Amino acid sequence: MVRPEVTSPVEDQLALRADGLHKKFGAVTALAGVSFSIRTGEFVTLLGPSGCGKSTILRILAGIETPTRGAVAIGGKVVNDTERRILVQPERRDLSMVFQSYAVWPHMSVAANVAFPLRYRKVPRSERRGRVTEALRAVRMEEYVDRFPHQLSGGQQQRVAVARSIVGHPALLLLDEPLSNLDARLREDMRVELKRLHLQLGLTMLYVTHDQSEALAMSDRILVMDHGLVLQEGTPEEVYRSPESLTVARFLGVKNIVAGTVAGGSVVEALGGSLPATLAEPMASGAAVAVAIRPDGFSLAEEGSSRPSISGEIRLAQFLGGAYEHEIDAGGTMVIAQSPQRLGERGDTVDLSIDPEAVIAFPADETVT
Amino acid sequence: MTGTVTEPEPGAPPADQPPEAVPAPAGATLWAAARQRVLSFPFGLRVVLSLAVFTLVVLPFYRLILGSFQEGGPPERGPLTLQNYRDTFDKSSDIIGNTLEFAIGQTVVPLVIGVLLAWVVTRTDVPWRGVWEFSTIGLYFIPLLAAGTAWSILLGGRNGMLNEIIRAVTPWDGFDVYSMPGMIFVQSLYLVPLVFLVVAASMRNVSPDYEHAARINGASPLSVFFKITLGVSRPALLSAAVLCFIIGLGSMEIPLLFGFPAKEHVFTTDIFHALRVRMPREHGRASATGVVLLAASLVVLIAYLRSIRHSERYVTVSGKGSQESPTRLGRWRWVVFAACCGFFFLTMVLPFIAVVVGSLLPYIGRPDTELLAQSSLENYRQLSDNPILWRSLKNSLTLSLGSGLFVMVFGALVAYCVVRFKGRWSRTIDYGASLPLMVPGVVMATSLLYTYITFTLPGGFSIYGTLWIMAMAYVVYFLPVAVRQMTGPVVQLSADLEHASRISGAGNLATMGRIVLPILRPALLGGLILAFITYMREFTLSVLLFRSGTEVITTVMYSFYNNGRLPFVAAISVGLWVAGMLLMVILRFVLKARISF
Ligand SMILES: Nc1ncnc2c1ncn2[C@@H]1O[C@H](COP(=O)(O)OP(=O)(O)OP(=O)(O)O)[C@@H](O)[C@H]1O
Ligand SMILES: [Mg+2]
Repeated sequence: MVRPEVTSPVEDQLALRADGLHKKFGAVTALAGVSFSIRTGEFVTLLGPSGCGKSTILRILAGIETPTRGAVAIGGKVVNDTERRILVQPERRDLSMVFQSYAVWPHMSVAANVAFPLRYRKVPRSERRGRVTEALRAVRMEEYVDRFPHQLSGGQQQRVAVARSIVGHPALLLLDEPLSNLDARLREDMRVELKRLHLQLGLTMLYVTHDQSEALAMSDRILVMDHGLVLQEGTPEEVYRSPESLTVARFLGVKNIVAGTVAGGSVVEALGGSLPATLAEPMASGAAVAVAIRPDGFSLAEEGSSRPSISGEIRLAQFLGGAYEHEIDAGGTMVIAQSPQRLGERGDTVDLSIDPEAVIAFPADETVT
Repeated sequence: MTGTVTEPEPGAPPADQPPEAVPAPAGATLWAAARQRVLSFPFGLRVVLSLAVFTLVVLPFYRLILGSFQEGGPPERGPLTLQNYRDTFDKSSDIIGNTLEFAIGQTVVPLVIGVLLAWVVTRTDVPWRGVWEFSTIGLYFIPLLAAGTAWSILLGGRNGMLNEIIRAVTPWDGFDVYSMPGMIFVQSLYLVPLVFLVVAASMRNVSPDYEHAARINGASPLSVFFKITLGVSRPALLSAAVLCFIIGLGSMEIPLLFGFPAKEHVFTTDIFHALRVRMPREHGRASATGVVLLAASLVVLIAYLRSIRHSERYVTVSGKGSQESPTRLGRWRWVVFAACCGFFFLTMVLPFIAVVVGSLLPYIGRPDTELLAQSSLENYRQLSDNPILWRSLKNSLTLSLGSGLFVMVFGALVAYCVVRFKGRWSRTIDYGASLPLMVPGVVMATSLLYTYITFTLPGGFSIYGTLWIMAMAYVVYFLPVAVRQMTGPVVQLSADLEHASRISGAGNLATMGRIVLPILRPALLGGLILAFITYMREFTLSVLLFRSGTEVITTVMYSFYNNGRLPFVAAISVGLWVAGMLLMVILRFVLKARISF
């Protein structure tokens, strides 16, 4: 083995680096130039709608798909470079992966499935049993060791797949929607468990999901993707609070997108009132904008407050457990508002103020994309 | 807020210079890339398979065809000549007629019976449909040589037992199976399962709605059968016909058993005589005859391919209707039921009784009390003392198991290449591996014989006259079926199962050995049983390739038959018959495999 050369201390910190990944399947462009890097020990999430190329990225990183163009380095060692024709086989990459399709081997028991990677990671025979039990306990599957995959439910198979991926303590762990088939409670538990493993073993994880709450809860950093491109990258707070485009805003759960115009400064005219807002980019007064308003930015206007407010009629109020969700008719436009308390009864007309942080204005032509 | 990601991060090298790890000068890079490709698993696997297909299939046909134009035939490598072909056609004006008559007869008869049975089993409400299906497929598990023996005992000339009875109680003479109609009759009965399997599979996919629609529009059940059911299954009918015709051109059992006493010679028996009976051996003529047979099957094949060119038209909506029986037969139900019972009796019961009775008698003749009183187990006792029989049994089992295992793994790998690597190269391998399906057995045996007769490995080891050449012939013979058997299971194998193994650290070979083949094991096992039974009943290849010491069970049967020891042959037939039925039951009820071609 060639000892990987290290070019800079920064590189040393990088568990993974992807450079300009392009992938075409015939006429379909799955990836249109994706670059990112992950520091050792980081938990990074790829978030994006179905078909945006998330699985394709993971498969390229794992070496089971080759990019049309681009380079990948894992732990500072180039494993794939189309320019220099370097391609390291999957078994030499020291990573593991949970497949969207689970890929639990049907002819092996749960124990044999989970023990499989240990054979190749040179774990002594005597230790294997303990490691398998440990991994199965992490996914709450320890009592199923001797079952075969056809005797397990989809969610149980998925957990076996997760156990198999963590058992070898790989340098890099790729997870392709590993919790998609679990019920809400179990998903919550497993989320915590994965996070615990991440911290405890110092694993570097790249996690794929299209569930924004999962992404926000677990990640150190989120990459929001669409149509084979990374639209934005940042901490959960950054992408949630300051989406750089309407698409990102929409994908992070902003349901209210309304038309408006810039009234000068950082105030926009929308919903029949003037709202202080954050402008995504500097715009002249009078410019048409699309205004994204996060549902949690609404609150009842305080009596006599100078803060600008809008008024609207409550059409529907639903109790969601942690909060109330209201459908409000504001000057002919429907908006959704969430708040910890009830804003009023059905049919009430209320005055609402909106947190300027929750109002972001984008140039109107962006609605097209 | 971080910058957009298509820009390189500060401090990191620009995108066109990824972090350096392994230094790679330009020349070395190309070389490394080339080496990587050649040593890669997909490349290597296809090279190995191509070589195997080349030595087993392509090279032999090349040797045969080239040799047929050389003076003295393939082993001599003499100057080019057309003399071999003149010899073939000069002496054999009636052989051509006989060959065609036999091949066509034994295509038409099983086609009619097989289609009717397939229709009865898949589309009507006749009682016991499962039984008829099982027993029809079961016919494939009976060696043709054993069935031939049975009919020889029953209807073979004046001394056939059934003929004796018929003469005694009716004014007729009976039916001599040692004749062209007799040959066609017996061969046809045992080709029915082949037609049945192909056609029934296709009829199952015909949505019953087609038939309902035709009925609603006023068609009678009969015209629904001809216009709709048969119409939609036309590609399957054609391929079954082609399969039968090529078997008819190339199979040896019945022509040798019945045609010889009847003096009805066909090309296969002619090759047999040229290679194994006449002295000096007539290699030139045998090879030319082989090429003629090859050309004949090629003509049929091309006609077939042209006629199914538009077969997409026949792609049918496969309804859930397989369990339904769209055709109510009414009072005809019991007539059809009786016909099925009759067929079962004629193919299974009567011949089995014949071999059992025959195996207990000292000779075959009128079954009166005098003869029957002499029945004993003496034949079995004598056979059990016969060392050649035991040796042949051992050879048969070794060959059938060994070649069976090899051919199934070989077939699985070819199927794997076609499914996983796609591309023209894989398809070429697939064509090569499928070629033997379209080649008469006798031609296959002759070409292998001629390729390896003069071939010696370093150290003077020659595979000619060993079990190895027979194993090669067996492998080639079953390879197309093995590929077809394994294609479905490989298609169903998710590639992610392999990817997960690779990512876990297992290399390509380990993934093959630990994941792919084990998952395919049930399919491999089912195929192995089918291969095993095909090999146990195989005669045409063996009789041309065996030597003293490499006899197999069927060649021993033939030599007993040739020496007039029909009761011995009957005794061996009983054993094979029972073993065949046992395997059939295991395959169907223990392994729960669907048998298909
Ligand atoms: N083998 C393939 N052949 C052709 N197109 C493909 C192939 N694999 C993926 N694609 C296409 O590439 C695009 C990206 O697919 P990918 O599987 O990466 O999506 P994804 O983001 O993982 O979606 P999901 O959330 O539904 O899993 C899709 O448009 C898909 O149709
Ligand atoms: Mg996916």
